[in-house]
Amino acid sequence: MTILWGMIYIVYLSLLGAATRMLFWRHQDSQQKALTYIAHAFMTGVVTHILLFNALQWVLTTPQQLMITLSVLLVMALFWVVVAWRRLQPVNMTLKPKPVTLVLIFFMLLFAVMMWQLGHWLPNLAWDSWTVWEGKAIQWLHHGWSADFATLNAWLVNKDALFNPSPAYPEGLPLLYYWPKVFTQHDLGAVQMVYLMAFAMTTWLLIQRLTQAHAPGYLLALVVLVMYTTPLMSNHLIMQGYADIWVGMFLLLAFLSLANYQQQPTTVNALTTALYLLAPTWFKLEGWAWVLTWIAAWVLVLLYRHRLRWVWLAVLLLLPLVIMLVGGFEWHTPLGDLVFTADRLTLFNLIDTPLQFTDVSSAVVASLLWQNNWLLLWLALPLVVILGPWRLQAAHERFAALFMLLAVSFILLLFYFTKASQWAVDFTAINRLLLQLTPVLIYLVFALLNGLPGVQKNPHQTQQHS
Amino acid sequence: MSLRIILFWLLSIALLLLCLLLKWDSSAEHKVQPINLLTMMKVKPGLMFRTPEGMNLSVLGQLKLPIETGSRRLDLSQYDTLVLTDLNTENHTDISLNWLAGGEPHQVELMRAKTSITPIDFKTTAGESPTDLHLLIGINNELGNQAPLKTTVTFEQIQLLQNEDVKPMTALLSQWSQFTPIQTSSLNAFNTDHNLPNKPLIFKLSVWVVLVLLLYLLMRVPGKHLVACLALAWLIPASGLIVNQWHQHQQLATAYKNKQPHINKQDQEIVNLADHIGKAIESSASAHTSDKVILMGNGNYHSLRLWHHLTAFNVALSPNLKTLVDRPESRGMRVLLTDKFFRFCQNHQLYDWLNGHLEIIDSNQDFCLARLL
Repeated sequence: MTILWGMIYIVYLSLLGAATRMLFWRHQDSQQKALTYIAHAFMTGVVTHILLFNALQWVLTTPQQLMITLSVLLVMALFWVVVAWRRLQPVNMTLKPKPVTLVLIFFMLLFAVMMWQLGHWLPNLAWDSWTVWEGKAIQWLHHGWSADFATLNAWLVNKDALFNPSPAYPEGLPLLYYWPKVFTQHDLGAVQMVYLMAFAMTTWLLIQRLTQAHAPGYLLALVVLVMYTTPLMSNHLIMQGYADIWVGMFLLLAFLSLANYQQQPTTVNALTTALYLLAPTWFKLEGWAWVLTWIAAWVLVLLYRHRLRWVWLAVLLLLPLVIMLVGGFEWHTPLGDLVFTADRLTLFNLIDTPLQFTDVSSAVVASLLWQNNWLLLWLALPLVVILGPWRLQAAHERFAALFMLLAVSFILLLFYFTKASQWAVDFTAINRLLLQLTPVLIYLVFALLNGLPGVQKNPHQTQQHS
Repeated sequence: MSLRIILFWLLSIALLLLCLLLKWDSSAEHKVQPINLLTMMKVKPGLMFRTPEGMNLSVLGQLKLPIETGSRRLDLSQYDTLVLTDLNTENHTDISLNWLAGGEPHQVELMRAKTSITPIDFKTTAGESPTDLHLLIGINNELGNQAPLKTTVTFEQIQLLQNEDVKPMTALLSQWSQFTPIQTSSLNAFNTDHNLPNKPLIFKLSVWVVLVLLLYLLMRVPGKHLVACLALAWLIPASGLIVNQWHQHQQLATAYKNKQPHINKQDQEIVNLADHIGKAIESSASAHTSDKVILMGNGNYHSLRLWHHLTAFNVALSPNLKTLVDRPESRGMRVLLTDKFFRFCQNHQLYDWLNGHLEIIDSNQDFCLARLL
């Protein structure tokens, strides 16, 4: 029964995503493999579901109203997908799956079944989840799904708000947990299937990207093995409940979608990239840090392309020094404070911390390698950030390497110089942050390996369809 | 296949074996004889007996096995490794070595593998010997409520020795094949700096990967051979992970045999408590007063889980009763006192700041429901 509910939820999300994507599909968009189309439809569906429910929370008050509205919307979505499908033909049905594709799908299915076998016994064990992610969904179920959440102080004076230990966390994951709870007690199992489906689709899209870069079958098989046997990633799939893996998946998808956009600058690819990039912000506050990192990387690329690049570089390097020399910088805005002094860093509502050096090297190295949460994956980090910008073949891959360099620098800055050092020492936060970047790292490692002489297949043997 | 490729593979495999078999951390100053701890264990007759498979221990609940070393004047600080051979434990069993040193208690979970090789640092000062040395065998009830009360442990031999006496490959296989039960903390990948059992294997493989990269750059073989080496480096620890997941599956299948929704026995007890509290909250509700209930608790597992099970009500969690009493907006709200906060209900007259501010609605041995005045 749980599997049935899970499949219904997956079909619902895929339909929602397919309808959304079809709104922006044009005749000139290329035809895709069926599974690639489903993968994008499903992942877009997850984001659409969150945005739609967030919007409906403002206007609908009861689950009955929600069910009626959703039923009407789903019928319209189905009708629209059928009509648009016939007109636009987004999938090339004549493409036959190759043996290597079937083998890869078989292994992905095998790993997913293994994880399901491990995970379906478990109640929701994750503290953050039963207090916040699933916790908020249960609170909505009892008290009305449009209720706001508040801290204790705000709850004491607010008649309508509900108390939650972390009211400021985004509500993406609670909204994913809420919907199946309205219908069934098999909701946890259904959401685990959504986790597993999302991971499988992300892996598939990664494989597709590497296939387009003429990666051989054995390298693709290794991608599947690495994705499914990286210990902490598989742990977060087996014992579902946390949001970090969603952030990781969507970050990777943003880069893969950027690659699609650079290859085919269509509306659907541009919107998909923007949607995937913003998606992490609806799962965790750290998502904003990665959006800002993405923007910073983009600015650096623009500056690098400018004829005065060395002047810009000098300005960027000297700016922090000058700010320190003049005693710091403070800007108070309605959105929050921007403070950068020798002893304090405030970045709007994202971070507000005193600055002081703490040596967390042993904790950092332990969490990168010795804890065995990533097997040997982070050993490749120096190669990715040093060789990546020069050795990677595609522009989006070099951009991803630059993003990784900035993101890791940001993490190290956070743990070495702010009060976040305490989280590095107990390993919890540092591992979760690393988890959010791990899928992108895996992509870059394999993009590098694929660029080695003697690895790529003859480009003429590779199918050009995405 | 060209000679260069054959040479690359021969050198790579030779380097792999060298990395795996070479000792990296031989720090013992002088050699000492291994100590057979079996002869020092003090255990009641009938609890431990010899069978053809080795020593057999039957444990009901928890068993403390004292290891008496005092009369032999042994300097245990020279030893850094505990080895149990042919160890067999059930998945729900905890087994650890415990002692006192420098006035502090120390505990090391033993590696759960057929040949269990656990690094031990007694943390003694010069001239000091660890005291109260004992093995502790118990049942892990952290997850599920199906763990039987009884468990059995068998092993052939238990020895304290120096790390250099252990064959590197045996130590590696022990780390590689160890069983790590699923625990709540493993979700966070929480671990402590001194509990990194995979470090030696990952370190050796990391060194090998770096050497293979150098070899690849020097010999300039086709990239697919480097990829194959990296795949091998990945597969070695990954295979251990997959086998471990299979054992974890067996652990969960036992712990959650009836697929109950509660995390463990403690959680089940909290659910029962929440049921009682829920009835008290419902019966004390009135249309004229606030529906808000404040559960006093400091964010530990018990209070958070109780708050979670009371989600059907408009409940908040607060660690400070005095602050609530001082706030006018909390007047009329009900407070729920359990655990250490129970004392405010039983002896509220002892606290000046509470006098006249608390009206007891329902009080029993498990909880107290009161109204703030």
